[in-house]
Amino acid sequence: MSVVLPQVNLVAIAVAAVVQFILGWLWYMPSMPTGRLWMRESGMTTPPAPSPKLALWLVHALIAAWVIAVVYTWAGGGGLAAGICIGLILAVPAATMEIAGGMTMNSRSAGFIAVQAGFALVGYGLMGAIIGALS
Amino acid sequence: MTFTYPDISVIAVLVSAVLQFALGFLWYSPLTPMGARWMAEMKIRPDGKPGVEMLAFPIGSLVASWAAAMVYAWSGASGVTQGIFAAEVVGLAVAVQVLTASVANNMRSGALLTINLAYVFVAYAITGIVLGLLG
Repeated sequence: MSVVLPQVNLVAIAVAAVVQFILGWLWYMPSMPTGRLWMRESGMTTPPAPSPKLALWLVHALIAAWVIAVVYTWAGGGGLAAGICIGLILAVPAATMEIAGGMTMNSRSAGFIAVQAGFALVGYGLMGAIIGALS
Repeated sequence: MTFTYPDISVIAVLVSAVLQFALGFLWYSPLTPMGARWMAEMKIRPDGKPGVEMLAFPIGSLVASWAAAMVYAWSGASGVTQGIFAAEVVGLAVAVQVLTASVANNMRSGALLTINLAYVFVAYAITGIVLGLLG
C-alpha cells in the first residue's frame, strides 16, 4: 500500500476555515466568558487592539481544515459525526501541547490553559463537523 | 464507507511516546542550544526543580503518538518515508494551533516560536519513523 493525498472538498474546507476564524474572533472577545477569562488570566486590563496579524488566523484555519479534510477522507468519511471525531482526534494532540506547554513552560493558570485548549478542541471539532456535513 | 477505529500497534505508540518525551526533555534542557535559548527567552533559571506538572509531557507524548498511529493506519502508509509523511500531517495540525496561539497571545519572540515549531516537526518525524518500522 502507499499513501496518497486524497481529493478533498475545497468548498467544505473554505467554509470550515471561515467558521473557525469567526469562532476565534468570538472566543477571545471580551464580551464572551472565554474572552473575559483569557483577558483576566493574561493580566490584560484593556482589550488588545485588532492587529493585521489576525489575518494569519484565516491562513492557519485553512491549513487546519485541509488537514482535517485529508484525514477525514483517509479514514473513509461518514458524515457529521465522523467529521467531529476526526476533528477531535487531531485537536487532542494540539490541546495537550497547549496544556503541557502552559503548565510546565509558561506557568500559566488553569483558566488560561482551559481557554487555549478549549479553542483547539471546539475549533477543530467544529471544522470536522462542517467538513463531515459538506463532504 | 464510514470510518472505523483502525488497528494500531500499541508497541509503536509506546516507543514513539517514550522517544517524543525524551526528545522534549533534551530539546528544552539547558544542555542543548535550543533549550539554552528557550530558557533565556522564557527567563527560566536552569537550576529550577521540575514539578508534578511535568507529567503533562509524557501524557501529551502518548496522545500525540496515538493520534499519529491512527492517521498512519487510515492513510494506508507503509515504511519509514510514508510513516513520516502521515505523522507530519498530524504535526501540521498541531503546528497550526501553536501558530494560532502565538498570534492570540501576541508572542513577539520569533526564536521561541521557531524552537516550539521545530520541536513539533522533529517529534512527529520521529513518530513517523517508529510507525514506519513498528506500526
